[in-house]
Amino acid sequence: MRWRDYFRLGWDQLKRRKVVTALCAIGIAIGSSSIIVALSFGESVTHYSQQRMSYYLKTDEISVQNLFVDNPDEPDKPVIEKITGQKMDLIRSLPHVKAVAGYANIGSFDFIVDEDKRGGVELVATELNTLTEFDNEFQQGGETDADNTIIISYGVTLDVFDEKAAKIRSMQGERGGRTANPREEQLLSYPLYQKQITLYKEQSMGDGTTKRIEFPVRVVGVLKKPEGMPDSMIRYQKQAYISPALGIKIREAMKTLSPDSQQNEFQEIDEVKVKVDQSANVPQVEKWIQSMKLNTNTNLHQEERMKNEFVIVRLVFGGIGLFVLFVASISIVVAMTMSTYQRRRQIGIMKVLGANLKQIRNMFIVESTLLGLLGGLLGILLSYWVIWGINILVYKFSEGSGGDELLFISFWVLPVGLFFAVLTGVLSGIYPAIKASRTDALTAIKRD
Amino acid sequence: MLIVEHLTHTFLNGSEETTVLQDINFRVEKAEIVALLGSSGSGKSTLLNLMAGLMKPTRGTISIAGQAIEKMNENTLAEFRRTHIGFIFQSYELIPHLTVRENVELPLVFQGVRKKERKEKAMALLEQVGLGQKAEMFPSQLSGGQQQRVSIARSLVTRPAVVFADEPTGNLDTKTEQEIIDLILGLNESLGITFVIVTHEPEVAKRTKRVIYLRDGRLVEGWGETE
Repeated sequence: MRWRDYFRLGWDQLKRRKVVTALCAIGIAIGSSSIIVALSFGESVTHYSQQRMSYYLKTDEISVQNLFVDNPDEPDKPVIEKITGQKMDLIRSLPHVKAVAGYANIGSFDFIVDEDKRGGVELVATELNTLTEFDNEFQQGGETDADNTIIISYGVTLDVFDEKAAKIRSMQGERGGRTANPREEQLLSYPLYQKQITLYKEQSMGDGTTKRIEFPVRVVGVLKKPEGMPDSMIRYQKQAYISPALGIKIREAMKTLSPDSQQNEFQEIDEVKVKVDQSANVPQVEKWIQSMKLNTNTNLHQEERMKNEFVIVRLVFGGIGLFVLFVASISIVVAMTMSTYQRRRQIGIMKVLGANLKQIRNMFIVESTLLGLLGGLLGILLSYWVIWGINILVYKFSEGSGGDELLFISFWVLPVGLFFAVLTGVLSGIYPAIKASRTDALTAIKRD
Repeated sequence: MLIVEHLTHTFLNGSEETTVLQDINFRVEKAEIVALLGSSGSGKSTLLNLMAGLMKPTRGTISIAGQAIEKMNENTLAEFRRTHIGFIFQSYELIPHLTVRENVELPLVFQGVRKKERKEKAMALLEQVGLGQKAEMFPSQLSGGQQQRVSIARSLVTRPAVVFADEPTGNLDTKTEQEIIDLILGLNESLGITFVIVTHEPEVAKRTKRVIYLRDGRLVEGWGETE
């Protein structure tokens, strides 16, 4: 008997028993879609988390610092292997390296804008044209070569303190006896783009006077608000970027604030950040950099830890899917066994007409396989609806802040779901098939 | 062609052994048409089932086309039935969800014959039984007589050595009964296929050239010559 005929006969049977076929197929569809959704959920969450990790933990970046090597002659004075321009050029030429930038932490500065609005920044000196290469996106403005400019994080625009409003409030408070924290009430989200702000730092001197240094700069860019991060966290991100030249200038000026301090030993670069094309290549690049006698740090171990955790998440979801499929398979076994009983006479006739045990068995297994296939295809459809539904819910609950869809179905998940559905069909068909093949032809065709 | 020798069949009725067939001996030649006549309980259906390989005899041998079927296992018997035996049922026993043509093709499906060849063979037989125009209809759309014609066509499609017909006119009215018997006689003559027709109706038996009469599990010689 040809396989084509097995499939045709099986399909005929399924078409004939539409309700039973539909119920069994729905059962399998639910099971296989559970597996597809579970795997997709696991993968999507992993992917999303990796994206987030890459975004927040910068797993595709290597942070390079000076290397301190023990000095056997003078244990208190380790030998410092410094980051040099030559080494940076060498790092730039390495394979998989997308960008290299030096960073110098200048320190915390206050700023004043529009005469009476005050805020704070963490000044970092770096080549401003490399910011976008390190995943920074501009909400307003962009990179520029102009002198005395600054690019601020979105968080800097939050919590700008309005002195004038505070004074009015304070006066009102004295009259009306308000108890609320007046400072909290005067924190604003203030537009700083294209504004001239004055960075300043004050230092109390030993003679009772206060020394102040000031640097007027223009805000030429505001970086994009980080996605998926609440304002309560963003407001603490106060980084502001200035050019290395301005950084040196400010540091020189800072020397006058505390001439005796150790801080006078400023370095041009505190650390170098290296952007690698993908996190998988980070270990290799890190190794090369280490061979240049430099200290390196990455967040790859965090990614590994998260990956291990997500394996467990996937297993749990996959297990749930398999369990649902197992429950669904019971419906096939029941339906097919019932069908075997209902079709006893037909099986008997087929045997009289020359069908052997194997052919009867195969007929039933092919039928249940088709049922599994049908359920699997329905399952794929169902899982797309479920994922689509979840994405809509997520989108609504996150108030449309998310860009890409959170959950997605990878192409490789579909054959896996289909495979489990067909496997369920095949396995569930075995018992009814054996039962059918053992039907005694004579007993089956006898009429009462 | 068909040789039955010393065939005895007994079964246990509780602790008591009942003999259904007792030392049956006969032979049917190639292209012969024989009626197996007997009243209810005479053992004719048991004899038919034994000859078709659906039961194993207690004693004796059955040989069809030179092969002893009582020694065959279930799979070999299925193979043998597929190629050497045709079967016509009293209640036609067509598969309801298959078309008339597909029903006729069914034994060829089990033989693994290609679709085109199956279709040609089935259509040729359906033309012969006068149902060429109804090939794509379903059994439920046909009358009882027409369904039996389909059943006859199905039994012949593999060109078997012998066709066993179990009360082929049992469910039909007298007029249709005559038409079916005429058809079987005609096919026997035109195709040269051996027919064994089991019936309890002497009128049907009389239409065949030879009658084997069973009474209480024994063969009665000379029936028909003296009737």
